[in-house]
Amino acid sequence: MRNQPAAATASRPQARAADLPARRRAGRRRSWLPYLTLLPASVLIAAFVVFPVATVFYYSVQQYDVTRPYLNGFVGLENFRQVLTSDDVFRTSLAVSVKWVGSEVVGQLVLGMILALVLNSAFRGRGLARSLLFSPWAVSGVVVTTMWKLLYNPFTGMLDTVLMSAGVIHAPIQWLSDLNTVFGAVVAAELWRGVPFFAIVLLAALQGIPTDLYEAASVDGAGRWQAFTRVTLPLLKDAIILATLLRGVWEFNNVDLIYTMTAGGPGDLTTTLPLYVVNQAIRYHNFGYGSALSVIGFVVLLLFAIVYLRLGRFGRDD
Amino acid sequence: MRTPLSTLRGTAVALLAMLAVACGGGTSSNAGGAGTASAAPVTITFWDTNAGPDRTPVWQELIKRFEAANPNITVEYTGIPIAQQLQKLQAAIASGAVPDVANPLSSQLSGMVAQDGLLPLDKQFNSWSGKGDIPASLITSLRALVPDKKLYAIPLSGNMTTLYYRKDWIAQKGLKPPSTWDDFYTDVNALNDPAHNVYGFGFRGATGSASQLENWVFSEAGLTSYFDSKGNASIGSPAAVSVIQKAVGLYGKQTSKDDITHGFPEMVSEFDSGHAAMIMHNLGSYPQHITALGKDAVGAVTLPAMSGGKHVLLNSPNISAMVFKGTKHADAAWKFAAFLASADSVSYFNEKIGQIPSNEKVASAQWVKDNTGIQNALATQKLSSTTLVNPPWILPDYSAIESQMEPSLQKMLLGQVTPSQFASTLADKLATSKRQYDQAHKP
Repeated sequence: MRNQPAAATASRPQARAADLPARRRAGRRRSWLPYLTLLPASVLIAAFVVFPVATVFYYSVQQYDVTRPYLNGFVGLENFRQVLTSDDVFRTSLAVSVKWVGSEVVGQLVLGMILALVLNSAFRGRGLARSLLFSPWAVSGVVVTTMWKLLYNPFTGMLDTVLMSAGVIHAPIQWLSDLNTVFGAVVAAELWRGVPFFAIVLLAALQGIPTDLYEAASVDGAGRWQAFTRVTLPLLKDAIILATLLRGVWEFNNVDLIYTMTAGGPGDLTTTLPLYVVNQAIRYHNFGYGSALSVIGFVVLLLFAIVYLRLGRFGRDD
Repeated sequence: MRTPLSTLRGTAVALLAMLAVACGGGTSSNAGGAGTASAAPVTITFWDTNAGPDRTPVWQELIKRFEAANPNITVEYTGIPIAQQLQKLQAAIASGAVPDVANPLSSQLSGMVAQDGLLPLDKQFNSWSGKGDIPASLITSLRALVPDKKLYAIPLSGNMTTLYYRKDWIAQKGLKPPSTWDDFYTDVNALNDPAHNVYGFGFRGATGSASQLENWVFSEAGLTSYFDSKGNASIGSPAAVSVIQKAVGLYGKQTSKDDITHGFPEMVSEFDSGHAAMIMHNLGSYPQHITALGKDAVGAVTLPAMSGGKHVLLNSPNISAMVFKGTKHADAAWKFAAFLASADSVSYFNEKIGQIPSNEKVASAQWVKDNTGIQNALATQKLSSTTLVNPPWILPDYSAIESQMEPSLQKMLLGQVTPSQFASTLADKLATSKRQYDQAHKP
């Protein structure tokens, strides 16, 4: 170390001391910068997410009907009491929601996995196959409904025509009016639209799995099924958990396809909880009651997400 | 020395300043509040609440005529499907983003007035040269729908629930046209041929089902008022339950099982494609049936008479022009509404859609005389043995109650709810609504 003059070394601590306030000021300025850059997004989230959600919570404790202001006012937990103790439609709609989410998520996961495994292998025309098989994802719910309603039409629909020609059925089936077929018919329409989402997510995750793991498994004598269950599935765990959670939440909140296909009927056979909220708040103008239903739906989803992530040990290596 | 932070601060202040200028300076040639009369060019918005390929061109033609006669006023047309029009109008009033003029049904008047969304038109109507052409009874009935008895709507079109039937099939089988309820059930059974995908009746089981069933019940049971003196709804009476039972009994036997999901488009399609011998709908679909099947194949009568020859008919709401309170061009908006209610416009519009013109100058027009559906409706209305019943449109939630009953009606068709339970639920809702309304509007 070069010897520096004593004056220089003596002044270095002093210089450092003189620099300290400036460095502290610079540090404080730097610590504000991330918040400033987050500000625009935060304002948007506050305006379009936090404020509306807070409004829903507010109205959930009100009697609020826009066409009957003479009945409006604070009612405390009365809306919640009615929902939880005397509303049969709430109970059936919650049950339909659970059935709907279960059918869709499991169905889309299984079919999406099959599709992803097929598309992960090399074959001629794979690029075209990928485009075609992913295209339903781009179609809006209303267009999907129109298409499937035409297919299901008992007088002119292709489905009944093909099944009758093949001798599978002998009379047209009223797919959307028959108690035994309406739920499955709506599920099938949404499956068609939703499978590509799982296929895309799982295909991306599959392509991240190193091929030497499969080679090593093969050397150890593992067959295809063992390779799938011991190599593929564990490495896809986080992708599966995230995709099923997201899709579960989206399907729970799905309204457009069911509303346009059956409007929740016949009876309340296909009325899910969010569709019941739409009916109460929008069609029957009962915003207070609809808000209470929304709050309950929010709590149900929140609990589900917390429990699901914990049980799935998301992000943790087993 | 400029630092990144001071640059950011400066930028933020500049942006906020620009935003303040943009938001704060919002005056334009359109501002000035309601009641500003001006020859300066103005643009008003018109919401058509039953937009579609049949009606949109009609309104667009009327707009063209109005603009030609009023070059300083431009009318921006927005079409809304009828299934969503009430929701959109109520949301618009709640948010303040209202059109200047719209054409909803008079049955929605009460709710929109309760939201304080409409402009009273008494002053404008009283000084209007065309006021004498509007039947006084229509104006009285519109005033009766709101607590303050002001005039918030100008009628453009009248209507009536109509029984459409295959005149040609009736003639082929040597049956009597369904002029009485007994004839109706006889014809429904005789024309029923499920083996060939033809049904005696096309039931409306989805959107609009409760309203159709009410019309049916009032007509067949002969109910002459909605509420008795104690405020009980007559739809809950034993006579009403009996009719509901008969009507529901047709489902799945004399009707397709698919009817449970049929709203207006599906029901009309079933009739027009030859799969149903009879349907109930209002006069507005008459032109469509004529186009699909030909005039000689389609009969159109009011709902049948009871066995003594007496008719009881529920009044149908009028299509009406309404001006919204949030309009910034009240004069221009009224001018357009008055134009729509004028004899020429009413004649053109109603001839195209097949409904009853609400302007007395048009009553003698040749097209009115040639329209069988309208002539039958008017003739039945004028009979001394006919009772016309007004639904309780004064109740702001009447439409909502009917919507609420639609899933229950489907459950009734599926056998999950009995006609008695259905009628009792509907009666309770109506009675409760009336009690709450009367309580809130006690003099």
